[in-house]
Formats: sequence, structure tokens, C-alpha cells
Amino acid sequence: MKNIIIISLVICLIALSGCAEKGLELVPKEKTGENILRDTCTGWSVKENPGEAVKEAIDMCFESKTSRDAKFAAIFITHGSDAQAVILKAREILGDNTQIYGGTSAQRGVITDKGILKISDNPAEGAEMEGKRGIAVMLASSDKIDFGAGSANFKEFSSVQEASKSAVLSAIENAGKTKDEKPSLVLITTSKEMEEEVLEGAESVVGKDTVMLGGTAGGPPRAVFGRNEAYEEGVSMAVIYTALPVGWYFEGGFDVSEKTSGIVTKVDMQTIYEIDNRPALDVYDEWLGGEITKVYAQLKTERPIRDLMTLHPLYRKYKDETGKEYNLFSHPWPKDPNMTEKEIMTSTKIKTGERVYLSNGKWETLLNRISLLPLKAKTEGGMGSDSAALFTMGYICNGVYGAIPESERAKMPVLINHANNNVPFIAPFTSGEQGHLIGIGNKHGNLLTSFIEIGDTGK
Amino acid sequence: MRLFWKLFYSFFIFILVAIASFSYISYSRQISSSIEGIESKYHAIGSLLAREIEINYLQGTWPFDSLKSLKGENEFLFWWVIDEKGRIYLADDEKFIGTYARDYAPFGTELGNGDDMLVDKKQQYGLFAKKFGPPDRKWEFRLGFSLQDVFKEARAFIAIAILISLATLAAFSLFIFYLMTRFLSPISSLMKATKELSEGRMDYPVSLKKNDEFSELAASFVDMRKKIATTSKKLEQTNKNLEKEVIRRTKQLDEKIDALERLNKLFVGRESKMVELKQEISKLKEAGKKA
Repeated sequence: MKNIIIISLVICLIALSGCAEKGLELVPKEKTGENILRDTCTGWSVKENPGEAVKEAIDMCFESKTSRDAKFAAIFITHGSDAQAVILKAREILGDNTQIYGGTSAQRGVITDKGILKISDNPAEGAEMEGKRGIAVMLASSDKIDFGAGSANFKEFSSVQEASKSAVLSAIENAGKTKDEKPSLVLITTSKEMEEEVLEGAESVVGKDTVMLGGTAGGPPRAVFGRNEAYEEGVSMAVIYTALPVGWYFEGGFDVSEKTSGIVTKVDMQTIYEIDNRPALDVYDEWLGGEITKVYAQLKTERPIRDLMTLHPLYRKYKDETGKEYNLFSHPWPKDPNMTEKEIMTSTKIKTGERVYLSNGKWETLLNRISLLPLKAKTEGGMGSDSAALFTMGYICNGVYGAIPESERAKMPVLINHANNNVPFIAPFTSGEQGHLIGIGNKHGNLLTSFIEIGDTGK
Repeated sequence: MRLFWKLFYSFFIFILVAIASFSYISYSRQISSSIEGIESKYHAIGSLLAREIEINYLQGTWPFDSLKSLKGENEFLFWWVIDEKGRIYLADDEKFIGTYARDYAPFGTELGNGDDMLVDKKQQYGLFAKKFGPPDRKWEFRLGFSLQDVFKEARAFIAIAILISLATLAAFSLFIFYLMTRFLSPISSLMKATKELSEGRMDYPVSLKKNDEFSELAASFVDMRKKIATTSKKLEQTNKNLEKEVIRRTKQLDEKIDALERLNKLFVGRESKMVELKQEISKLKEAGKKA
């Protein structure tokens, strides 16, 4: 009898523990893919030593390039990196003939076809593309594209316009062209608050009709690359000459309804004081149904307010001669974190008398729109959706990237790769974006994205 | 304590059978019911999402917000969008993107039979799958969910049932033990006294403290023992008297026997003489005749 009891108890214990969790494990496998050699390539590094980081990124790039030479290099580093050391090392490795362009990308990192280079003080263990510093590089060589890079330190010129003019002229010369030969495209990376002036200066050389695309260097501290040095206040430019198809797309991913708008009645540089003769933040809060007041009353902190305003940017309308309208967005945020002063900051220079409209957006829309950028650029360039370009590049607003939940951001390079047919690309996160509005000219805005597709390799 | 153990074992077997039956029935019912509920839920979610994905797919977009909300579901395991080559194009976890669904058996295997839902109780998972896209470029949406919590809850239920049963058994055992102790103690005492009585000892103490049936039994026992003792003494006395009487009568008998023996001897002597005389007579008669 005792034995029966003992056996019964043992069976009970086994029944309880023996049915231990036997869930299926879902562990990701190694990704396999063929290494297609192309005329463009990308590489990255999170090494903290800038020299080693540059070498590692360039070596990685050459592993998938048809040759170990590069006519053009787009280099973007996370702000806080030693920009001077980076440009010197890059110049040393690539040589004098490579046209180097770029600067700092906003803190969140840089995106390439290989993924998002993420910067963090406490990088996750085992996370490959995560570190305290980051550098991403794209190298390109093609006998069908002429590249030229130029730069200028604002401090060395009487005005930003003059500096910009000098930079674009230098780029044209380095491309082996004359200023009468208009480039197919001008790429811009500039420091903050001078974007409109930079565009003005460049347009004075190449004209309003020349397509310019670019972004404001991330930071602070910000840096743009010159030939052999980095500038804290300056501009880095690249010009592209090609007979190949050129496609580009420049847009904001927000919904525009035109229902809510007002006239900016008092502004100073990038600070809006009044809309419709009333404190700007009060007017904006009314447009949002008092959400800013409610949220601040609950949370007493600025961050959620900024996030809310990121998804409700202001925009201005521009109309070309044909009547086609374009929307240029401005990223607003409260000047005073305590909401006592009622100014709204933007990263654009809105003029007194301009009408600003309220837009709204969802992160899902933003992510979807970013994913479609390559397709839209190809379409604009007359290329098929299945085509594989020779040279691709983009600019993504840091604010837009930040509006996308962290858990969803990794999908961005996947979606872009799919639309881009897995052609290498690089896209910095910018603190302002410059782009072309057909029939109007080149403008500076916020919360915008752009993408470039050049050539069709047929691969 | 043999009675205690008999009761204990009986109750234990009863409890064991009761637990086993109840647990099995409850376990099966609970699991079936829960799995049905979860299956239903994920079928609905999967169907809605698949439809949303299909609509968005035609526009080149994805319902990321709806897909993201899946992570809030308790049983959620994964979602994948698989392209026509079987590669995971999108997933809730980007580490799976770019790998092949077929490498994650059983999650990546075909459901077969045109079904869109599979539930595997043994491996504790479920799978919803729906194809979408043009006929020549069929993509697929897969949604995996776990059934582990269902089994975990059922196990917890059984564990609680077992614990309660063991506690009941322990409580019952203590109760029985207390009863046994309370009731068996006087019985044990009486048993001991009876044994002592059987060996002739009449003075083994028996407790008469409580006023219940046991004390009455004890009193009766004591009374009986007294009577036995009295009777025993009387018998002893009677035996002694008998012994004396026997001795006296025996003596008397002996004397009578002696007398009889002497008489007998006398008679026997006379008898012999008589015989001899008869023989002489006979002889004389015979002689006479002859003469």
C-alpha cells in the first residue's frame, strides 16, 4: 500500500513537471545572398577610432565593387565623430582623384542597403550595426557618370551665398566641366540655418531649374567635408553629369487638407512669434484642438509635445506656372520647453505674410512613403520598376525617422531595397532637407525625404 | 493504528481516483475550449489583416500599424509576409527578413488542403496563412500564435487540484489520526487490560475518567473483572474444600476397602475351604460308590 502511495505521488510530480514547457523555438537563420559586384558599393563601421572606422568601411565597400577605385565617395558620419580625422583618412585611402562629399548625419545613424547604422551609448550586445560612433560610405565608379565635389567654409567668405557659389563652381571644375555645362543634379550637405542662402548661391551659378537635392548636416556638432578638411559651418556639394536617365523624388509624407491655416504675422529667422497676430503656439494648439495644453498638463515634459508636433507639421504651398501645387513642410516645435513663451521654432525661414497650413501624418504613412521613394524616383526618371539603377542615394529627415516606432525602423532599408532592386544606396538622416520643386526652384524644408536613381544597368 | 492506516489508504485511493478523473475531464475540457477560442480569435485577426494587406499590396503599401498591434496579443508568436520565392520579405522581427520561411519548420511548411488554419496541440502552436497577390506572384501572410499559455494554465489548474487534494488528504489524515487517538486509546487500554486479565493479572489500571460509552465499557470491564476475581476466589475455596472432602472420603474408602479386603480374604479362605470340603465330599462320595 505504501508503495502505491509513493508511486502515485511520483506520478503526480512527473505529470506536473514532465509537461514542462516544450514550446517551439523560433531562431533566425543566417541570411544568404549572392554578392553581386557592382559599380557602386556601400560599407560601414562602428569602430571608435576614426582612422580604423574609415578603413573598415571602405574595405567592406570594395568587397562588392567591380574595381578598387572610386570616382566618387559619399561619406556620412554620426555627429560627434572626429570629422577631420575621417576626411584625412578617407583622402589617404582613396587618393586625390576621388570626389569626396558628405558630412554628419543626425544622431540616429545612417541608412544604407546593408541596414541602419545605429548609434547608442549602450549598444545592444551582438548588434552588428550598433555602436557609439558610426560611419557609412558609398563609393561609385562609372564611365557614364562624371562626378565633381566642392566645398566652402562659410567663415572664409563674405556671405553664405558667396561660399555656396564657390562650392558649386569648385565642384563643376572638379567634374571636368565648365560653368556653362549645367549638371544633371547637385547634391548638397550644408550646416544649419543657412540652407536658403546656400540654395540661392548655388542657383546663381546653375540656375533655378537645376535639380538640387540634399540635407542639413546632423548635429550639433555638425560638420561638412571639404577636400581635406571638415567645416563646422560650411557646405559640401557634389555635381553629377550624365546622359543616363536621372530620376528623383522629393516629398513629405503628410496628409494635407487645407482646412486649417493662418498668416505668419511676426517672425525672426526660424522663429515664428505670431500667426494671425496672435501668439503662434496658442494658434497652433487651437488647430490641434487643445492637445498641446492637455498633453503638457498631464506629462509636464516637452518630448511628447515635440512628437505630437512632428506629426502635425506646418506647410506652405507653392504653385508653378502651370498651376501645379507643391507643399513644403516645416517642422515645428515649441521654443520654450515649459510652454510659457509662445514662439514656435522651425528649421526653415518662413517669411512674414506667408500662409502656413496644418498637416497631419501617421508613422505608417511615413514609412510606406519612404519605402516607395525609389519606385517614384524611377518612374520620374522614366525607368521601369524592375530596373536596377547604377547610382542611388537618398536623404531622410531625422524627424520623420524619429516618428517611426523603433521596433518598425528596421523595415525601412528592407522596403527601400525591395523597391530599389537591392542596388547599394546611402541616405543620411538630416536636420532639414533641400529639394527641387519643378517650375519653382529649389527650396529648403523639413520632414521631407528624397531619393535619386541614375542609370539603368538592367541587372 | 491499523484501523487508521486502513482508513487512510482507502481515502487515499478514493482521492487519487477522484483527482485523476476530475483533472482529466477538466483538463481536456479547458484545453479544448481555450484552444477553440484562440483559434477563432486568430482566424478572425488573420483574415482581417490578410484582407488589409491585400488591399495595401495593390497600392504598394503595408498596414504596419495593424501589424504592429499584433504584438499586443497574448499568444502572438510572429507574423511574416513571404514573397513568391518563399523568402520572408517582412516580419515583426527584422532578423527574419531575408531568410527563407521553409527553414523554420513547422512554421514555414505548407498547410495543405487549402486550409488557412493549422493547430498543433502537441507542439502547442497555431498557424494562420493566407495567400495574396496576382496568380503568378503569390505572396503569403503568415501569423503564428502560441498555445503554451493554455497548457500552462491547465497545468496550473491540475497543480492546484493536486495540492488541494494533498492538503485535503493531509487534513483528513490528521483528523482521522486525532479520532483514532481519541477513540483507540481507551480501546488500546482495554485490550491491554484484557491481555493482562488473560494472563491472570487482575490489577491492570483502566482509565474511567471520561463520561462516555468507553468509560461505561471500561466500568463494565472492571466490574466484570471484579466478578471474575470474586468467582475465581470462590472457585479456589471450593476447590480447596473439595480437595479436603476428597481426601476424607478417600480415607474412608480406603478403610472400607481394607475391611472388605480382609473380609474378602476371609471369604476367600472359607471359599477355599469349602472347595476343599466339596472336593473331599466328592471324593468320599466317589469312594463310597465304589465301595
